[in-house]
Amino acid sequence: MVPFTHLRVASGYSFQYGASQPDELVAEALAHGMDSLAITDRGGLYGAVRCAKACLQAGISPIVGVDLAVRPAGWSAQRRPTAARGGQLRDERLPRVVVLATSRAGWGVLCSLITDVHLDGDRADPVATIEMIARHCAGRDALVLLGADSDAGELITDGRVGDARGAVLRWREALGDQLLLAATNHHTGGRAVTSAHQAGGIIRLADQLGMGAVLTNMVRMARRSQAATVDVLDASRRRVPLDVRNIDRRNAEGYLKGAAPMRHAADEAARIAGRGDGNSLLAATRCVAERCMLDPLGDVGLGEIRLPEFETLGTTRAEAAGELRSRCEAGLVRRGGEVGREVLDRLDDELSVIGGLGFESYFLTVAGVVDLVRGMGIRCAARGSGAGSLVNYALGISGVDPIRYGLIMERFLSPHRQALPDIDLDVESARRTEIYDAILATFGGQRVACVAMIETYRVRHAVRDVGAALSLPPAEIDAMAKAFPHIRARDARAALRDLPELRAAGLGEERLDLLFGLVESLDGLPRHIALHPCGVILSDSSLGQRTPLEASFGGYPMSQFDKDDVEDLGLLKLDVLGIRMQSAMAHALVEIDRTGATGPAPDLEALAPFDDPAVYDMIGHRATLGCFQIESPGQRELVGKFGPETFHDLIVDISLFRPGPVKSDMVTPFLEARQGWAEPQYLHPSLIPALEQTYGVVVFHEQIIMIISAVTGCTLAQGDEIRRALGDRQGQEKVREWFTPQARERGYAEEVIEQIWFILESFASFGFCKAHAAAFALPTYQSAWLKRHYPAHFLSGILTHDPGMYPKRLLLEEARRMDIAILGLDVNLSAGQYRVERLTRPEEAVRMPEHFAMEATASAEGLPQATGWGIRLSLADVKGLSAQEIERVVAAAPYVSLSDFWVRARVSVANVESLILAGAFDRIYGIGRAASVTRRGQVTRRDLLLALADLHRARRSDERAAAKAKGYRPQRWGADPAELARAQGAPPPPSGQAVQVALDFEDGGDDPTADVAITGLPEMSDDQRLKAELEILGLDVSEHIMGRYLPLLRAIGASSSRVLLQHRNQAEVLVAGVKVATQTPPVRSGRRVIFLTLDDSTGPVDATFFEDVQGPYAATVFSSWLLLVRGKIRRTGPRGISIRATGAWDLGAIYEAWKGAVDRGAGEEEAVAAVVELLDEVPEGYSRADDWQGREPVGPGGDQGLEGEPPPEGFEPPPDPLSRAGGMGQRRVLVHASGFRQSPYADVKPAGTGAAEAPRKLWHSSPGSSGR
Amino acid sequence: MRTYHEPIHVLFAEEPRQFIWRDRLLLVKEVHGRWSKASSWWTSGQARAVRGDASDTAGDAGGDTLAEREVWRVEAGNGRHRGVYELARSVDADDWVLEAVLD
Repeated sequence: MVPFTHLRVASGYSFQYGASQPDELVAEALAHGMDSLAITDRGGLYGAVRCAKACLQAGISPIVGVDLAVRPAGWSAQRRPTAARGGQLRDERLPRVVVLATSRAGWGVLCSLITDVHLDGDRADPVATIEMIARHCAGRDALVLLGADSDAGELITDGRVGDARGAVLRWREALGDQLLLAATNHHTGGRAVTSAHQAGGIIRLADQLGMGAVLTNMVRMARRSQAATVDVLDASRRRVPLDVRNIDRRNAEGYLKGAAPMRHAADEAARIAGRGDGNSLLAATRCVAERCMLDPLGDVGLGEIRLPEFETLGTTRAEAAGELRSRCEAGLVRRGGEVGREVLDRLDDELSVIGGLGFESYFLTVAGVVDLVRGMGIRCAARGSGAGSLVNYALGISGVDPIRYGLIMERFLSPHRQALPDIDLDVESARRTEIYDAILATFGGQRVACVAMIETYRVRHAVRDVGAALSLPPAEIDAMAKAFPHIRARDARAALRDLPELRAAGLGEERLDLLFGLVESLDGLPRHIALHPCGVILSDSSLGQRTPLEASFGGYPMSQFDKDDVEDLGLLKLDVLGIRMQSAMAHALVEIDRTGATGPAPDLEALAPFDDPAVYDMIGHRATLGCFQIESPGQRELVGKFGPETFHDLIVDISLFRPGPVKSDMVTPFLEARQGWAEPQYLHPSLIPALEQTYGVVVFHEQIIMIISAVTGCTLAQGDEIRRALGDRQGQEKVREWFTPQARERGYAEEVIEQIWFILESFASFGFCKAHAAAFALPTYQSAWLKRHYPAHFLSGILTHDPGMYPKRLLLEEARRMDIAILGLDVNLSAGQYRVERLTRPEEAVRMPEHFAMEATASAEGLPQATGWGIRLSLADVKGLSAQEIERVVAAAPYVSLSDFWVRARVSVANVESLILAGAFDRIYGIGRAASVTRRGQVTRRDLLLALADLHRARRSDERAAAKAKGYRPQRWGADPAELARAQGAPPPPSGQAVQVALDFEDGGDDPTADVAITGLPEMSDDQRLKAELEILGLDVSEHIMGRYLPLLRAIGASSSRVLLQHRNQAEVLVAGVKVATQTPPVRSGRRVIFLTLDDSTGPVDATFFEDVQGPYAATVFSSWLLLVRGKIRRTGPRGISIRATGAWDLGAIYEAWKGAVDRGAGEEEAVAAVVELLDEVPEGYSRADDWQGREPVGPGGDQGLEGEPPPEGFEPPPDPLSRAGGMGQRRVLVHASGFRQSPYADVKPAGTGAAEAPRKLWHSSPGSSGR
Repeated sequence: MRTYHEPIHVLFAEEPRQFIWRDRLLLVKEVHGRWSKASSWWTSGQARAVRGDASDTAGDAGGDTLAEREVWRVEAGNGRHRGVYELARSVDADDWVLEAVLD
């Protein structure tokens, strides 16, 4: 029997069309004993590289093609009710063709065809034409299949055989014998598409025309059981509910069938066509398959390396090595003056490795990009292992001296690895697109493309799409989706078992089984292609033959391949990461210059050797809010205990605060040795050189490499290979077999070998790359230096670019602690950014917010003071105010009155209203705070609103809405993908706005502010102002939000951040505040621990929720933003304190209860009793959780074995082992290769706000300034 | 074509062999074709339950998202009489009905 090959297979990379991953399909084909498999995704080669890789592993041949929509001349959409939200037809259901490559050249044909199709017409809606396909394919290595859903196929189902014949002839005229007809028999009834009848008709037509015909199964899923998923994808793609009219599938036959059922389908169709049996059809199919089989290495190009031509770098192949050397030497001289022997030897070593690998072009290219960026005045720093290379330091790519800080190159580049090294550039986030433009301009659109990022279904999107397909009410879908933490879709039901807060919300009900089954089936399927946040491909001019390009939303040429694909294809990928901190620092420098502030020279590039004691003093006092990498609650605790004093200490600090070191508890022994409480322990004297720097604790990857090298005598480069092999269990076995005899041979005692091996095994995958940490430490030091010496300017940068993990309101608190005035919004003084001002008027002096712990000492310890400076709020924080409006407001300033502003700034009426309410006109009209007795003749904000309404009415009467001009796209010219992509991108915002200059009021002598009539309306109360501020700015500027709760907190005797330290250990306290952050970090026990940080106006309060209290209270912690927390004090050191929470409540609800009692006339004690009653009650839903407990036994290995382990630093185990699951139900634990256990919910972004009243950006849960 | 939609008994072994309709036993001579059609599983009781229309979840077995109806078109007869019949059922169930008779 002839083996069967599927020639038409859509994987999940057809975006909401196919239901299976490429590797699933390959595995299924292998299970059927097939020797080849095609992947023909819709509109691109998105899944081709993955499929080719899976084929390579499985040992079968990939066939690569693309499934394209084609608009025949004169085609019009059939009127089908597929109106999407907004009424637009989402899916025209155009006829389709499949183009298959028959060779490597054919791959290139596919790439250029796809690029052409995508860059013509509308973005993200690729539609080909017969001419386009003929232009690219005719006479080249490609075959074109017209199948059941082609125009000819559809005509056959309509019984119009003559017209179908005409359609096929048009294609054949263009493509000759490269054209084939493809029949598909899904055994659907009647004469419809993919019926046996239609398949027979197609074969008969081919026979009549003397053409080849093949059989395909139009596969959309690996297994029949995925049929419902396919329906959901159809509905989601078209954004309509599930309905027979909206889905393509008629039955479940479109799966990857085996040879026998395919033969059955072939026989049936062939008999209808008048052939005796299906043999000839299957033989023709096999023949085509054999023509199209590709070699994953030779034809697809996996594992090759393609760098830009030397000519584009201004050098030649022969001169490149010399050029690189001379540039390095010049750079070293520029950096340090004297260049010693050691340095030159190291340079020789590195250059010979680079030369051996032939990577000169790579380094010259990266250096070229760095020069380009710096030349534009944009801050730029290398990150990653590249900082370990002297060449990178010499070329100016990285800013840390690798020799001085003991960084080795081998972690970055090794003669044993053919893969391209990875250099990432951190640049200013706000100017990243400028850099893209410059790279495109310098290297040319033929060589440059951005990397794509394939977004896949995770639980929230899956819930949304399945819910919408099943016609659930939108509000219900939204609530369900938001209840989930950001986990994978396939874990949906496991999460329902594990997390009490989901069950309390009723999501565990049996009736939702169908929904969650479908949600899980969507797991990991691609749903959207987007621009990768940083990847740029730099290649030679053959790029267009190696990857298909399309336009990104912003109009950049984007490869259809993601970063893994790009790496597999050996394309040079440079990560240009937009780092908000770099923008923040750039803004600070601009402000320093603009305001003419005095102090040490603000040249951040000249701070080496990074030894300013004032900076380290500030860090040691934990005053690091806003500083890169060291501002999170955990890091502040760590720097407080650690007390870094040198740059090397900073490198260690950053490395220690990584999941790995924290997980494997390297922190405690390190700190003990550092503080001198314990002697450093070394297993063997030969390890001292590697471990001395960290007191015997393994922290860095580099140390593992050095240990391996020291014990076995291998080179550092080999050591790195071995370190990489230690990453999985299999590799560990192999390494051990090699390692033990080597060490024995070199005279190590068995016992010592055992111990060293234990270290390697447990820490190899957990350490942190020192070079990476060093690269991070540079901006860390720079930001801390700026904060120390120019606090106001630094904070204005942080507030403008929002780089950190804390909400802006907390940064404003920090500013107040540094004696910096926060200056209100002002149409004449505010800009699009936060600006620094010297205080000139006395009324702007700082007003410290009242709080309930005034008697305690100020917590400004370690903080610099910037008396005499203020930060002006930014217009960008005004909700709804567009960038264009801000530009106009700033350009036309100053204004003398509201009517002046109204006429010249041309801001929409709603936004002017917001500006008034936020106080932006207060200064013009001399509006102050509300007083019990208003000054006569004083304009109020309410008067301004009335005046605005009059102005608006007057304008409306003579205004006509301008008809929106119809979109017009000019004819495209040229073949540069960069230009074509730009034409498809979103239109750039108009810039350089013409503004009317201020009218001259000088000679009139009238008061311009007389335009607002005084009506005698009262001024807004403080409470109303606060509410307006929160709504409009998302910031509580005039007073702290906690102010209104003070009476309650005093009544119930709540504590505050400032006085917490005065409490005894184990004392029970109540604290309240605004939620600043919730985190569920990995901890050693494999349990989920929730860390909550509150801001109570006197400082941050950290509370920890262990599993025993999560059952009743987790939902409250995640969903409320004003919280009252009860807990026990736990002292962790002289300055360290944390609260082990025993309960959490929504502060608003408690306040209502208390206020209600007070308003009813209850006495003080009675009102407090009402609150206590609430606190004593265990919330509903908790009992439900018990039903789940113990339903299934704890997984293998469970957590019993963990009881004896020491708790990780800073954590305390729940007191009662019997209640340890505390309503957490069955607990799943992830076990890492090194034996470390972790909760599946650790390190996952926790569930969202869910609180409708939460003001804009009052808090957000960014995982911290990890630098991304 | 006359449509009936009447319950029948079918002897099935890989394909229909015999069936009893209106007390007559008909022998299948030849299978002309078989086709299948997916069910509208999103209107099943289970799907309605997800939407919260809990009124009639019981007694509705159509929760299987993969449920399909298949139709066999066969030539059958007894003695001199011969005709083309369409027999339908849910896949892997025994709820056969005679859909139609073609002359």
